[in-house]
Amino acid sequence: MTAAERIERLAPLCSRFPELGIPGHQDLRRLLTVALGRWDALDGFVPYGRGWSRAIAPRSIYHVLASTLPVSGWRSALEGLLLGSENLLQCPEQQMGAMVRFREALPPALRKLVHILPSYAEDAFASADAIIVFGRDETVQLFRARCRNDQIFLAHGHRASLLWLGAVRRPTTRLVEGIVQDLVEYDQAGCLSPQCLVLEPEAAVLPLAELLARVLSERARLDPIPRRPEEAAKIREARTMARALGWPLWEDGDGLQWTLIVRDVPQFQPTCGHRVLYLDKVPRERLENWLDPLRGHLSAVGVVGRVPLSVQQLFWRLGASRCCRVGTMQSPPPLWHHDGRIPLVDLIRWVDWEGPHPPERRKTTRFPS
Amino acid sequence: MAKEKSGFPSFRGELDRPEGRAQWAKSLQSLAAEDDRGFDRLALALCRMQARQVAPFGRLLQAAGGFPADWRTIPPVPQELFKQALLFVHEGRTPRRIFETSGTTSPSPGRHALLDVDLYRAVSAEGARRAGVPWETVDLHFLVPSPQEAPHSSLSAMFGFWSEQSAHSAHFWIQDGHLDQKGLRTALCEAVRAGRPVGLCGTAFAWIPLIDRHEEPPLCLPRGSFLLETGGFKGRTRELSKPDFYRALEARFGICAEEIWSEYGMTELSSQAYAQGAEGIHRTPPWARVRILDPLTGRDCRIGEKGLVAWVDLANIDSVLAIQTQDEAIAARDGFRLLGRSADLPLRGCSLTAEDLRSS
Repeated sequence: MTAAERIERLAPLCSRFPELGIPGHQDLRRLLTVALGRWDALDGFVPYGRGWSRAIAPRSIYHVLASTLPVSGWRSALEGLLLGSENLLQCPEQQMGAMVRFREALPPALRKLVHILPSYAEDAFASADAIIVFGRDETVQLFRARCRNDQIFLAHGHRASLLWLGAVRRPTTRLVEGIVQDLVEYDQAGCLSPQCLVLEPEAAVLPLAELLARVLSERARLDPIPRRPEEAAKIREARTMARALGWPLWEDGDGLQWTLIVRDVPQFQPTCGHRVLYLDKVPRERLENWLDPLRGHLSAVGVVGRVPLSVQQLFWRLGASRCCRVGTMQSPPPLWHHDGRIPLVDLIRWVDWEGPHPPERRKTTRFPS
Repeated sequence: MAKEKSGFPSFRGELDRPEGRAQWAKSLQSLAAEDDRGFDRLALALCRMQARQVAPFGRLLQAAGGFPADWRTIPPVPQELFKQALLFVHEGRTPRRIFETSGTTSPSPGRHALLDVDLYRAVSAEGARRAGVPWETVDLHFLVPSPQEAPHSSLSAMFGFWSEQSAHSAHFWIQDGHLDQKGLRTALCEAVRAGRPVGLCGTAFAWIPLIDRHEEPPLCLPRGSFLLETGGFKGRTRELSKPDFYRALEARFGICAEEIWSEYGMTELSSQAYAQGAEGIHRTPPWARVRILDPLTGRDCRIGEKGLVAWVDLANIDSVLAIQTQDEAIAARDGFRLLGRSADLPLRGCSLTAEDLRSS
């Protein structure tokens, strides 16, 4: 199957799964073009320097998927399919339904390239040319240790995102709706979900919190989500901690839908998730030290208005790979550099043909002496 | 103890003096298990004093609507709060001992400051005695470091108190982080030959190398021996169900399940609960009580329902008496069936958690 044929077959899937953030044909083609220089470089030799080159995709990719959200697994499988690889998906129980649904949505020719594995499969792992792991450091280390030197290994370890609004003085409903959108999507469980909202001391924190509380209340009224006991325990703990420490708190009571806490901590601490958003007042001169625990773990930063150069540079130093408008944190563009990498590139191996003409497709090619 | 106008014992200046603390210990030890009014009276008195002295606890009471009507309405402080703040009643005094939580490389472990260990010494020994753990009648072998080697471990301290108060020999078998399996095996074989009963006590995880030691034949510990495990496995690299764990212990040490005790305590507390056998119900001593709270509603679970353990420990005089844990248990008529650490939510994929930060 050529790249064009795969794109043709994958495009309808992209519209059925909008969470993938790839609207259709053009973006699939662009993904290949950005990664390979030419979208058809997997199909045959293309001009390269004074000779010719061809991209070689892994024959099979073993994906170790995350248990919280399906979207990273869908995207990983989609990219594997775009390359024409066979995809072996080690899928945690929590995402089994979502992955089965994804596989069922594929046309038969691509479906047979996707295999869902309920647990670690040693033979499948050993046979794969590439391994992609989503998960914690321990998970990544475990699989890295199992890899052979000749296997490509890609890991997406733990990451955190945040909102930085500087000294926002007049929070608008539009801004707050954006914050709420970033917060509630995936119940704050993804690496693109903001863990906290960082403000400078001059910011209008209380009006912002009050406006946020209003919008979150409305959102919870229209679209409440059921809570599991484990989630409830964590939310209640965060609230009780805030009360005990005297931190201003806004919440929805026993609904357990949302919590806002104006916190005072010497350094960043993660949220327990489930729409528990911390508002942290951090002066610019203390920002680097405050964010230090995130060094190497920062993913996306949602911003509004001007971002001073010093703050931008700080985010890049801490490992951020994305700066975006508030309200769009959960919708990265198709060509997003996930963990700072160009999509697909790391999976590809190149071979060069140094003759004056590319080799013929279906015949032996005589190499000029 | 002097009385305040309210009729409660006056604590000002009392609980920071050895005599006052000894008097308090006596009051606790004279409580009967079914003495609700006595428990309530002491709990509210302690609560009142601690609310004045420990600001976070005072704030919680205020947020909960003021002073509680009875011990069941005292708002429990999250165990996690011991990592964020020093909850210490005696401002300006130096704590004689600070116990710290372990099990994580956290830069900020939970810290429990005690003005003195006198009350901890008294209740941890008496609590085990009342539960029926026969620690005074056997040679003791502890699968933990000694209190000298681990001065911040409340468990080592407790076993140290037992060894001080026992007429029998006691040995701590973890040194420099390593369990001296050979030495322990030799000591146990000697005890078996001499027919001297022993008590082996350690964290559940410390038992694993002993269970896994298949190259050596099982022992048959002398009659009167007991095993005591504490801590559970959840969240560790190896998980083992409690029935499987107990079966393995029975097979390895030639002992019946009823001779295996489960201790449930924590750094932030002074008292412990004990259960006997794999299916045992954990029971507290009369000076400590446990509520099982439904995290969805915040209310007490009914018998048979699962919830989270919240303690009211009258021996926790130097910090706060009411503590909310993240440990799951099923409420029972006269205690609770401990399930262990609340199952963490599914791994958060690429999203960061506090544990991730601590381990990175």
